[in-house]
Amino acid sequence: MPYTPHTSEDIKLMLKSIGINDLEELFKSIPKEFKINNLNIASGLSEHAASNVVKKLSSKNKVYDSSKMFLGAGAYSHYIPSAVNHITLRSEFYTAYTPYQPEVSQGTLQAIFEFQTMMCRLTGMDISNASMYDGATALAESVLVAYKYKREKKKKILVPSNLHPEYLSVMKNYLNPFGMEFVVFNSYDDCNYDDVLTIIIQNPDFYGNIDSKLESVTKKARERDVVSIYLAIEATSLGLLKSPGELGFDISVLEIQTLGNPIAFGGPHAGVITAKKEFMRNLPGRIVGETKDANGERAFVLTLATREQHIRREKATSNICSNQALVALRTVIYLTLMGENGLKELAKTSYNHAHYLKEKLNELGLSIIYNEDFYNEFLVKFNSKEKRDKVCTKLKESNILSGLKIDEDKILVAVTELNTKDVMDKYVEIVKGAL
Amino acid sequence: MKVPKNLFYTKDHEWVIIDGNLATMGITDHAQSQLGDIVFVEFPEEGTEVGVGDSIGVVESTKAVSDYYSPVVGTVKEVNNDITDEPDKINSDPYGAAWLVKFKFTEKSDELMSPEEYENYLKEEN
Repeated sequence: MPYTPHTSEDIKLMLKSIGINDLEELFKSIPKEFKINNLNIASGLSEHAASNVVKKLSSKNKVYDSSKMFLGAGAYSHYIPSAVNHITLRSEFYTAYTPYQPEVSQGTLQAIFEFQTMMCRLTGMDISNASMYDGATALAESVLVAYKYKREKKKKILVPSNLHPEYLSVMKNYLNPFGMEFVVFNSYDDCNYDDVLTIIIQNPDFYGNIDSKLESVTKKARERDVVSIYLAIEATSLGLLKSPGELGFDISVLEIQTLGNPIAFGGPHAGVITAKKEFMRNLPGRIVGETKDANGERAFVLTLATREQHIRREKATSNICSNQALVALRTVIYLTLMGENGLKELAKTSYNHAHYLKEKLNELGLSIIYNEDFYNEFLVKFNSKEKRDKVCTKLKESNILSGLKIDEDKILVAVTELNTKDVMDKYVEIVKGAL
Repeated sequence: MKVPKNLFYTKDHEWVIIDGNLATMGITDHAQSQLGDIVFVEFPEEGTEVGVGDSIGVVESTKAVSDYYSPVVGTVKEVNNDITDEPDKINSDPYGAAWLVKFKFTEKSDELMSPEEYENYLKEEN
């Protein structure tokens, strides 16, 4: 689809055909005081000059080597095989816009179909959508899936206190207009299931904790007619942990940045909702299905489109009419290259690296805070704010990004397969020197 | 287009049969033929209180979704779960096996049409 700006001839022709002389006349209904005549904008730069300006700006960034980044908290750095970029950057994938027409877009539709298949296998669910904007909005949309499935009767949502705070904030923003009520709980024993629509569990939680009691949570939820939603922001954890489907969850939400997508300033991220079959007609977003074409050959098309706005108008399941096709594509390519065993190994390596660093920090006498076990993130507590801040500064001086500061005296440290043993040893040595 | 003589009809192309304080509804032959192959039907919950004109469910074909509306004031007594797995029965037998909802009602819509009126209504619509 070419992007064609109007030439001055085009504009003249259009003005003439509606019978006016100039643009001024076209916009004359706008009162004078709302018109801007002189914007204080420079006349423009050559490509070379503009590139120098941007380079100068970008040189202000502090760029850490991926082996020296220990900051996670929702975005995680993993190795991305170079084939992911090579395939994604093919123009058929990279420049296509809303490529959903089956006549011309079989490649993209098949890629999305494979993506959905992988997401279902990864989460142990029956049906997947074609991806959504990001994990947090997908989580909010998943609550709406539950809400519609339960015929819009219940509005109470049980949310754990260890949910990613930004996810809670996005959900409130998204769901407050529906009059949803958020009840934050610290332990499962505190949960009152009366009139509850859904219970959300993040696993691993914001602090990296792995929860081993989830089967009893989903069982209880089912008994009380409560929809259970599983959230994994660090999706590689599913290489190691039981799938949400196996654990008995109704709906699963993943943030898929960690599956083949770089961490960059603000994105790109993508979310995906998978669910048990009974939620099929309440899923938001695009869904690609397999069918046969006129010659009886295997082909792919958008399916269950009657959930969507262009058919169902105001009763659509959601106002989402697109997907994060490119991020989802990268995820498909990434998972294809990794394979089932590759993902398992990756998860195991991340887990082992995290536990190695935890042991070493523990040996320094620092307290490491977690419940039963953790995946690739954990909280380290220092004796004082001063100690904590000094450690972070010292690490920064050695080009190591320490982690996310939490409270007055803690940091949340994320470790993946990219943080090598020598860097972790250096991390520990610097911490030791700063204590 | 079949328009049986023993039924009442609505402007939204539903049929209703009244028996004492019980009413049964479905969608008409005309409605099913406009929708095409029906692939899904959604029912109200049994026990739901409804008013005239309330949207109580949807019938979905491969190309469109259509709401159906309550023709009475009352409660949903029974829904036709037999067609959940065979919604295409709405295409083949809209007035018989593919009834949708039974109500216990106190009041019915004052806009119900006789078969003759409905036939004229269809003609006018075309």
